[in-house]
Formats: sequence, structure tokens, C-alpha cells
Amino acid sequence: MGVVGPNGAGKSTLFNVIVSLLPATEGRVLIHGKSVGDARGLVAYVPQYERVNWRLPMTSWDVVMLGRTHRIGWFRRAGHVDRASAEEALRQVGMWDRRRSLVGELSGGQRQRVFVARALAQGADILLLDEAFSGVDIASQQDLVSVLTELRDQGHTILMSSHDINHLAHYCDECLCLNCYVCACGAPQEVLTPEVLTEMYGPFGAIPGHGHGLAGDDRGHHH
Amino acid sequence: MATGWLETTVDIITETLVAPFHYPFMLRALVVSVLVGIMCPALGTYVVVRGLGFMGDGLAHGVLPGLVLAVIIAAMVGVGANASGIQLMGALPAALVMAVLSGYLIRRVGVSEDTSVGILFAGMFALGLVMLTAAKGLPVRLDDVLLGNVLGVSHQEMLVTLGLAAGVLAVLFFLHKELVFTNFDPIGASVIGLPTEKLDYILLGLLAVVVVLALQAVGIVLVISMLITPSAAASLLTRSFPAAMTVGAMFGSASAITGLYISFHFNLPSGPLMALMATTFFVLALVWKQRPARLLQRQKA
Repeated sequence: MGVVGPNGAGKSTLFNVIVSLLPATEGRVLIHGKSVGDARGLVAYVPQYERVNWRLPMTSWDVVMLGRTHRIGWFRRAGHVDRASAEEALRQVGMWDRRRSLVGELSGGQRQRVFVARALAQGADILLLDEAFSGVDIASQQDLVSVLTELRDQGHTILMSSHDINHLAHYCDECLCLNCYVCACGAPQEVLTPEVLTEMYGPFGAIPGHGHGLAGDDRGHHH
Repeated sequence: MATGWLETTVDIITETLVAPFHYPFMLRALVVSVLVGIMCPALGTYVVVRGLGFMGDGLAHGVLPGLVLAVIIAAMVGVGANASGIQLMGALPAALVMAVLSGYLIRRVGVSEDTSVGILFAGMFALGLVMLTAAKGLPVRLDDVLLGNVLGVSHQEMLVTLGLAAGVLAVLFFLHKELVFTNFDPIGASVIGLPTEKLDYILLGLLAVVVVLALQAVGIVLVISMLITPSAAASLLTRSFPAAMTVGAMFGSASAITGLYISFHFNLPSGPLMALMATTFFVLALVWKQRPARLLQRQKA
């Protein structure tokens, strides 16, 4: 499922509520019928580029092993089950050959795939990708999308946010349109009507297939 | 002839290396300095990647009122202000309180890290200076506090340092993966259920302890050199976090040892020499990294 909307529409806020980094003002979040606290580990988060401290020297392998943290438990070291799971995850996203590379030196798309591998090693059913395509060139976008499609076919639920509607329209089965409230939700071809787009991005916003200038992009409130 | 020459050389070397430690105070100084040289970079690697250097420097300055207060109380009670560990006992709680306060200012009030240092620690340092001057006749020399006096470390202070250093290294070892996760990707860490706020406070608490122990060796003004420089040198040469910690600890202890030797033989102050050696190692690491052969290789590639 894609989550689209201009900056400040509440995409990151929604994600933060889902993983209970922020309290819900109304309603509850249920994951497989359980509260978020009970469903820890089932949800994985692929952070926005700026939210990660790249000064810390981490190889792809190190990052994927972080996904095993809660399985390993406090004060303990990784065992061979953890290493096997990390290897499988890296192979699945096609990054096994780059396991010794520093993630800070990888391309945007490769970096995202490493973080997806971390989610797999974690054993997550649900993946949240925040602005997954920012700083990722077209070619690597394709690689990332094919990895994600494969995961979807295996039964994973994938939520990704973007302020750029053109990314998501092509790749998503469902699309949630936000602009501080839910404008529409459903299959992209049904939901992304001119009316909904105007509601989200204003009258000068982008229409898929008509260039990618997003006039509404700089508007809205930052959270 | 040949054996005679060899013997003289060996004699000179033993004299240079072993002679200092005929004095017990030099042995204590060595133990404390090496511990500081290991502990500071081990934690300093986090300090460098998190950009907490100014915070460490601020903490060091901010413990002064606690230290002076402990000495005043000791003098009033009549324990004698020079009794072992009095200064440590004052500085340690002061540093911990300030680490927590600054954590609060940053997380809850939304003040930036360098601003919180400016507000809390500069003010505290000023208070300490005023207290030190106002309470005349205290057996504390400002020089020793500012620049360190590792040659004056007592047996008890050495034992306290040994115990706390073991504690700090144990925490760094056993919480390694959790601390790395929180410092690398705080959001991902809290999503997986790690108590990131608590881990941040633990890191600040460790910083407080390490800074106070380092005060004995290099003093308030130069704490930052032991905290930052060996780790920075190590991160030039390594490609993983644990390696940076280990190599940093090697640089740190090497700076402590060489600094202490030079200080002994040339009768120069030990704190500044250790800091100077740390900087020297950094320059050497930089030169090694930028060495012509390597640059040529990179050009070819």
C-alpha cells in the first residue's frame, strides 16, 4: 500500500502512530488483532535517510544483524541462528556480495535494500518504508521495487510513503491519499482522480503522466 | 667490546623505561593514566559519531562546584580536604546530575546540545571558580584541577578508578549491540522495542563517569583531548565500530604511557604531554592514511 500526500500531510505521523512512537489521539492501532506492544518485532521500519547517523561505520552485515537484536536478547551475543537468518535476508535482497561494504558508501537503492533485509532478519510481517525513494535513482528504484514485489507475493504487507505520487501509482496495489485527513483510499487507478489530486496538492498539483512538478510540494505544515 | 656496547644500550633502555617506577607514585600514575587512556576512547568513539565532544568538555567544566563543595565539606568536618577520593566523591555526583539535567533540557525542553552545554556547564564552571576563590585557604590548587595532577593520585583513588573503569567497560561490552542500534538508527531501535531514551541516559551517565576519572589525569581543560583525539585517529584507520573502539584504546593508552615517560624524564607537566601525544598520534594516523603509495593506488583505481 502506498501512502501519498504533500509534505505535512501526516504520512510520517501515521507511521509513527502505527509503531507507537507517537500516541494516537483517537482510535487504536491493532496489528493482527494485537496491540502494538504485543506485536513488537512484527513491524519493521525503514527510516528516512536523514534520520540515520551515517557517521557510525556500519557494514551491510552489521545493519542486518541489528534486526536480530530483540531475538538475541539483552546482554547476549549473536548465535549461528542469527547469522544464518542475516545471511538469508541479505541474499534475498541481493546484497550478500556487498555484505562487507559500509552502508554509508552504498547507493540509495542498495541502502534501502539493506534496510529491507534488516526487516526480514527481524522476522517482520509488516514493513514501513518512509520516503523510500528519496535519493534513489530510477535504475535502483526498479531493483528495490522488484525486491518489494517478491516480498508482497510471499505475504508481507508493505506500506510506503512518498510525497511524489508518480512513484507509487505504478507500484502499489492500494493507495491511501492523505492531506491531514484521508482524501481517498483504494486501488490507484480508481483513487487517483483529478478531484482527489486537487484535494491533496491544490489546483496546480501534478497529474500522473503530466510531468512531475509538484506545486503543492512546498506547501502544507511541517510537523 | 661488542657485548659491552650492547650492555650499555640495554642499561640505558632499562634505566629510561624502568627507573620511573621505582617511585610508587609513578606506578599509580601509570595505572590511572592507562585506564583513562583505554576508557576514554572506548566511549569516545560514541562521542565522536554522536558529536557529543562539546558535551563531554562541558561536563568536565561543570563538575567544578561539586568538587569544590566536597572539599569544603571535608575541611569543615575535619577529614582533611586532601583525604583520598574526596574530589572524586564530589565530582562524580555533580557530573551525573548534570548529565541527567542536560539530557532533560535536550529531550524535553527542546534545547540543542551545544546550547544546553552553554547554559548549564559554563554557569556551573563559573560558580565553581567563584566558590574556590571565595572559600580561601582550601588545599586545592586550581592548576591541578584545570590541568590534572596524575602524579598526586592516591592508592584509594587508583582503586576507585580501577573499579569504575571495569564497570564502564563492562557496560560498553554488554550493551554493545543496543547502544550501537540506538546511536545508528534511533527510530528503528525504538520500533523494535529498545528503550532508546534510557540508553541515551546510560551513555550520558558513562560520559559523566569517564570525564570525572579523566580529570585526574589530564584535568578539566584537556579531558576533551583524551575523549576525542584517539577515537578520531582510530576512525581514520578502521572500518568498523568495534575496531575503532579497540584501536582508539590502543592510541589512548599509548598516549598516556609515552606522555608520562616524557613528563618524567624532562620534568614537564604530565597532563598536557598526554594530550600532546594524543594529537601526535592523530597526525601520524592522518599521514599514514594519506601516504603517497595509497593515494597513487586510489588514483589508479
